[in-house]
Amino acid sequence: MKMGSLARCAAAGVMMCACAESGLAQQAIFTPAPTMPSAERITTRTLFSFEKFGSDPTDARRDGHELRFDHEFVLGLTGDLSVGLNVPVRVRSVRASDGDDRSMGLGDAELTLKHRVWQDDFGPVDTARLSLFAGTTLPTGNNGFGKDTLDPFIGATFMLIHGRHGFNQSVSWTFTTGTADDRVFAGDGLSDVLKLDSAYLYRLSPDEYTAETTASTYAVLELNTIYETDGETQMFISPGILYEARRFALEAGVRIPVWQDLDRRPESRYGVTFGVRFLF
Amino acid sequence: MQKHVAFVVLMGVAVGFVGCATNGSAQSEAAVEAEGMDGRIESESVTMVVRGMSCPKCADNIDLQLRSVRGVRDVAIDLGAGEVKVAVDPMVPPTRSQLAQAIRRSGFSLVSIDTP
Repeated sequence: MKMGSLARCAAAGVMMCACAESGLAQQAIFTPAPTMPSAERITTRTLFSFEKFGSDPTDARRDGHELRFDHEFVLGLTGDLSVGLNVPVRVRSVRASDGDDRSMGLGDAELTLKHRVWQDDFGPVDTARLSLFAGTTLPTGNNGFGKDTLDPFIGATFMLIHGRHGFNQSVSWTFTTGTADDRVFAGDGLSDVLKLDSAYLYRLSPDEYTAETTASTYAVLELNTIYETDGETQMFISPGILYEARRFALEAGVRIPVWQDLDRRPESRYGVTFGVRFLF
Repeated sequence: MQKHVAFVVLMGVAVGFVGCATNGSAQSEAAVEAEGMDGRIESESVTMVVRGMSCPKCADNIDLQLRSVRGVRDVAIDLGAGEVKVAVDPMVPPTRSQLAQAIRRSGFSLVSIDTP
């Protein structure tokens, strides 16, 4: 990749970070939640992720890591309908049997429409919500990170918050219509992808909300399962922490593979993610 | 073929989203209509009881929506009690339905609007 392209990608990433904002409250790190910004508010979220992979069962014997910067912008259309755009910037370093490679570029963006179809606010801080979402990837990728196709996806996500306890459950299905140059992660092949994500959040502080409450801290534990229709399967356990103030939030988590059955792409060794959300 | 099926499913879901009449916050408008309170606020402050504010950022969503209503001077939110206190400009007081709509646009449920 030429330095000019690198500089443009880096500049785009920095600019998007500078504009970062999010109204995605009590949302776990890897599990989608039915939360959304209020009407006519634009929110964004920036995630910095590092994932190490290896133990490649294919002849390529790939081993390496990927650094990924996700920039998510969400617009609240009404109180229960939102549209979001996620633009990833990816940097991948691979050692393989046929040589080493380092590349950087834009990944395929994701456009998502989310509608909260059911809601029961049964206490001052207690709520249960269900949202449906649908969207598609957009062929914005370059330098081998894109697929030049539109991959539609649909899903549902449920949230239950009762006192200090929060539970999120999400299921999604991606109709994969094209392949990436190099099959490293789920969705890179031509198989459809099923994702099952569960998250539990426990509010560490404050013990009780009051009129003076301006921030809260949550312990997060997630179970993330990815199944591709050709049998490739991964399951991760993902502990993390979320600090949420009124105008910003910080999040950090790790992804630890607990079960992997992969024949066509390398296994994940671990992943680390840091995120920042702002609300203006 | 798979691509066509995928897009049909996607478009169906998208149409369903937009067309779905379910509104999780309809409780807000219903609360106001049930109390027949569509007139202007006649006091300098009101207290709204709101449910579902599960986090500080939820409160901020409400704060931003209410402050965009003309005539709202200040907003104070007690997450634990589920109370939103609104200071009102008596020269240009908002209506109760404007306050209720701000809660609905925030995505939360309004239980009542009380004046001193």
